[in-house]
Amino acid sequence: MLFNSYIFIFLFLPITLVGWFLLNRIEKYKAAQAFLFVMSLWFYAYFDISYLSIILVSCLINYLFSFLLTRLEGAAVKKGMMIVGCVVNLGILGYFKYYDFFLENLNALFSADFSLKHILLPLGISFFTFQQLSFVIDRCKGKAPHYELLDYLNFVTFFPQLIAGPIVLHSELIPQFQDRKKRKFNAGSFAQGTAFFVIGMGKKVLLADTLAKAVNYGFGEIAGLDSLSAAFTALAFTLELYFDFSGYCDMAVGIGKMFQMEIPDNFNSPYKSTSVKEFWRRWHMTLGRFFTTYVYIPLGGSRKGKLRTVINTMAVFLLSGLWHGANWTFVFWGFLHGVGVSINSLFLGTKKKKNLNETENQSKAGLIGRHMAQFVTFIYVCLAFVFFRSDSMADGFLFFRRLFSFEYNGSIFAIADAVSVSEIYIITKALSMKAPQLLGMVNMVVISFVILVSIFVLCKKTTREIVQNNSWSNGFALRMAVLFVWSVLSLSGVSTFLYFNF
Amino acid sequence: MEEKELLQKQKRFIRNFAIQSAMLLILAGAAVIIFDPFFHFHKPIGSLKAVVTKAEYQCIGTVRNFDYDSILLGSSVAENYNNRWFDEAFGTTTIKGIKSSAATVDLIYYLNEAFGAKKDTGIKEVYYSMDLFALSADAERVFPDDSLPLYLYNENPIDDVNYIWNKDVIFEHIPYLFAMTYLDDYDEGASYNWAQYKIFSKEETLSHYSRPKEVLPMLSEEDYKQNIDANISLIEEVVKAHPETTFRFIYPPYSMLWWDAAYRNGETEQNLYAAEQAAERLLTYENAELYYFQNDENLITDLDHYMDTVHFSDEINYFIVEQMKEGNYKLTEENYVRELEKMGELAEKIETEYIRKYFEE
Repeated sequence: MLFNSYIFIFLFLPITLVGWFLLNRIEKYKAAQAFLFVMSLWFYAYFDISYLSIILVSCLINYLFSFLLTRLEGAAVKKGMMIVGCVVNLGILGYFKYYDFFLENLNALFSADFSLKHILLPLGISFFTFQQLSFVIDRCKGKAPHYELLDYLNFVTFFPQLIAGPIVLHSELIPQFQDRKKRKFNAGSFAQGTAFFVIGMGKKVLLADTLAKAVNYGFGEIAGLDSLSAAFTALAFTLELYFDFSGYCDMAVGIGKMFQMEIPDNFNSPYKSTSVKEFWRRWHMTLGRFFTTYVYIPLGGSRKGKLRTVINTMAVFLLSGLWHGANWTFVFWGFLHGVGVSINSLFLGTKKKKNLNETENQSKAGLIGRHMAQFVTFIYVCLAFVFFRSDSMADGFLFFRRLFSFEYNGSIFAIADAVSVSEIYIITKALSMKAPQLLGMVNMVVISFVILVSIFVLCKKTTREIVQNNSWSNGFALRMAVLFVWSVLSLSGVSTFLYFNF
Repeated sequence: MEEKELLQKQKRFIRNFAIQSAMLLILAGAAVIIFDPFFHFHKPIGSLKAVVTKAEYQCIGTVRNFDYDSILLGSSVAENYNNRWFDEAFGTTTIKGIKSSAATVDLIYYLNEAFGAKKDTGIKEVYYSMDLFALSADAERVFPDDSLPLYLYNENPIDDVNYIWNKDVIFEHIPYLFAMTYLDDYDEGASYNWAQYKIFSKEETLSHYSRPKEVLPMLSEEDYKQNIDANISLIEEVVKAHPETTFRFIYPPYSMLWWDAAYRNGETEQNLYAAEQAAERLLTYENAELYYFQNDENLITDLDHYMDTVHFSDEINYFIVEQMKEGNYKLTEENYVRELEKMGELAEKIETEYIRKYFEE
């Protein structure tokens, strides 16, 4: 089930909230947790009921590990358990996500003919695997207690963070489930949650999904792009991805708040970053935290010299790329970010420490330098995302050839045409009848407007800043209601059936 | 702001947000339910016209909710008929049950829906544009499938939210309904008509024809018999179940390029078999009439009537209705074998004579 769906908004969420608070109100705390667990399973199984067994088996295996650790003593044993735990979790993830990718590469390398399994990727497996991996490692290191089964199941399956993160730590969520004070309905938290949810839904449904039309067209017709349309497509995807993912995470945080549960932020204005390194402190922050804690630092981090720092950084980013998807395009995207972060670490990091103090940062020259750095970082991130979105490496490189072809063929108008928005249908329809020659220009104005709105939203406060510093005026309630209803109306559309043959 | 005051404001926010959202959603839903551009809830209200241009969304609503006594079924080649032509010719009130690329199963679904909707008054006439392609389609396919907006087809009122809270319906289809009613000279009989947007000419037709490079061996009867027989059985069942209804089956005239492609794909015998079996079995029913236009040599060899291999101009649609009215082109138990033999001979002649004007062997 998606947050941005009728069934979630008008059926699942109200039932779950009412059930949770009612059971807690009559002090049936365990029943409330069991209810939440069952509802989360419904949320998860709504996509495909066969996924259920995978997540349940994964949960029970990890819980069994945790239980065994209560009976075992000794550092060596615990280290062994940690290795086994990692192998089991990564093995499950590897089987479902990377099996075919691995065989495809073997086939290509050795001209072999291993048959692919075309395994259906269970939803959110990357997220719940990493979440549990962090728990198992912490358990083995003695940093996590053995929790009660229901607490643990709620931690893994709590539906707001189940399928697309953020990657929440046991130490963040389980204590909140154990805190009885959090079991009561809290109007303040609910109001904040509502605002988070509505803003997130607007970002996802109104901005990301509109930008996606341009992006899908552009990446579907790479060979036909010119420099302008390729640049536009890359920009549109950079914006789409942010609004899509951060919008979804805002909704997750918002739903959490409705339950009085704090879910960590995953984004903090990443496109305001002045370096690729800073970008990763602001983009998908919970994944960055996972890799830093469980890969980068254990490898030695930046404590073992420059060369090891670069090697460790590259290892983390190659893994991060692979985590995003079983395709070399993601690995290459990770590689590009690894290079960016390594360069930052080697050159800019020390310079920044030496030269940039508060005063200089706020001076005119400092400000210009800062904006320049933001611009360069944004361009780098934007270009790297071309590989993230491309279906293959060949497509990615073709995209770059078109981007730097310095040709113009008017394909930008085709992209603009693909972004049809029904809100101005009356205008476009009237124009198509009375002045069709102006239609292309109107479409261009529309996509330019969407981009400008997106940039405006990027430059303004984060969702958390908006929500936390809010005066909760009547005007804000009206704006939220309009945004909510506009988003709800955008959940369904009317398709054009393109086939026209017999 | 004090904590108590903040909490009060947050409570007021929740209340205002809920009330305002509910009001806006009710307003949006009410607009869709009242004007109902897909006719899911009712026929057009007041002076609003029956603006019908999107078959996948509107066809089922028109079949269920309109006032009519006859139905025209078919694929895109039937979309350019004007319902009024049938009404004038046969004294009926006709609507269309149309689907692009329709298989027999799809049309039978609409037909059964129509009989269900008019179970009290009955259906007077069924005009059935019988595509040979549809007779060869999968007779066990599921229709409607999830490529269609199922919320308009099923009986589940809950998933109607997909319709009543739908931005495209509110911003596009309701204004379009008003614009076509009050600002345009929209002809309600010309539902789904697309001919006005197309060019019909030899050049246009040839430009859409991608001739199969190889001539494949002719398919054997066992390759297609089972499917065709099953499809005809589906039609036969309905004809048999409704003896009070007159079924007029129309074999649409495809261009000679279509027959050329059929020959090169090894499907000529299959198409002739489908046409013959349909005639042989349906002609046994007193309430079934069949009109065969496919072997009209002058018509199908004149590519200026077409825009591609199958789609002909609305002038041909009109011609067909006029001929049916006069009782011409009618198949009978006595002549159908000969008429289909003529088609077989014409298919050969297309290969040996006509097609050579355009393509070298």
